[in-house]
Amino acid sequence: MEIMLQVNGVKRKVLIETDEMLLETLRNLGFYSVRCGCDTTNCGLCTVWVDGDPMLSCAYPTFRAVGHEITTLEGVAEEAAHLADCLAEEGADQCGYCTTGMMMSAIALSRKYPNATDEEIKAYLNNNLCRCTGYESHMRGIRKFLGGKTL
Amino acid sequence: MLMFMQVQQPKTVEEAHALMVKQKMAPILAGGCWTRLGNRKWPMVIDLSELGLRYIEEEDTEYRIGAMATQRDVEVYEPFKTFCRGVLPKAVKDILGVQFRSMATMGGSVAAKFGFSDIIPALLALRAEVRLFEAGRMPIEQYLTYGTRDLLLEIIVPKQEVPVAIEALRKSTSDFPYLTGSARLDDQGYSVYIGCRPGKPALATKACQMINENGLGALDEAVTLIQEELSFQSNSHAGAEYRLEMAKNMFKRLVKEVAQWK
Repeated sequence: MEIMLQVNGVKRKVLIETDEMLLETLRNLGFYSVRCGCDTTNCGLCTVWVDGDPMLSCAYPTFRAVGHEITTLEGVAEEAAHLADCLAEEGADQCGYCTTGMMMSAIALSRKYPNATDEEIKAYLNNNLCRCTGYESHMRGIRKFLGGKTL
Repeated sequence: MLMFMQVQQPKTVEEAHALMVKQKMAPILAGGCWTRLGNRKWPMVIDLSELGLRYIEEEDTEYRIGAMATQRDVEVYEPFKTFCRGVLPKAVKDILGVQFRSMATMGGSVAAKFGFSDIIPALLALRAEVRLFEAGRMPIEQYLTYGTRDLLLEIIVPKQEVPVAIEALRKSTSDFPYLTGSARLDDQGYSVYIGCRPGKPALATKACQMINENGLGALDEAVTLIQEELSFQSNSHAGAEYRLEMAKNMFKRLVKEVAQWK
């Protein structure tokens, strides 16, 4: 089926399989920040925003995206670069596989809850799994990112 | 993964219901989060995302939660943060994460009648009702045994500030629960529901009757009745015996929590 999809502010015609998930569509379009981890809605690696809300693209049927604004990490590159610096400075960058999904959640958090407490950060990022760092370094990096934004 | 050849996106509830009746085998896509965990390829699915059922409205005596309102909508809806001490946000907050809850719908969670549902026990304790296209309003307790393929339109929660408590036990954060429960204390006495045994939540009738007639001093005796009236089974999450023992303790905790509600 052919649909109109708006990704990072740009509208385009896209030919998709009826049962295609957004993850696959976005990768086919070249948005390689969106990656497949568990493919069972558990790991958060495939996180994108739909109308500003973080969602799991592995479970989001593409046909539903019509009329909605999809945002990937490529669409928030400036904030992503700042957050990446914060994470790297705090050592939250071992294998890096979880990082893109983690960043999409963290940037969404920073926009919705710029004064988030540690508990709120943990709750918001609960669906983003990391198997390297133990999350402490992520917490430091995200705190630094949020602090930087509110200064 | 979710596989299908064709998708129908009705624009009205009438159209959706007619499709459901005509396409008896077609899965209904609400959030679609659990439907996708199967392996079957479906000829057709019926998608409910364009029916305008994503809303939460406050009336004088009740809240109305549209079937397509997401779990996250319920979690952040301001009046629910204080209603019955935040029981509804509490019921959803451990279901995976924000991303998942932004997709999973309240209607999907209720209509699927999953035994592992965190939400159904809370709605039972709140004496919630559902509104269906064909059957109209019915208590959620009755809906759990209602077998007709009907379209769930909304969940109705009475605005009654009564003592309620919920609990869910998991092996680890974001896992499926292996036992759920809820309790309510009102002028009819205590009602305690135990779910995920692994079946749908059910009222522990005899155990409740025991404490309603004899007071909390009879709690130890009351929990011995649970195994007579509720079935417990084993699956990959927990054994039947383990579930039963945990259910007895959960029953006590829930009753004490609503008893101490001030």
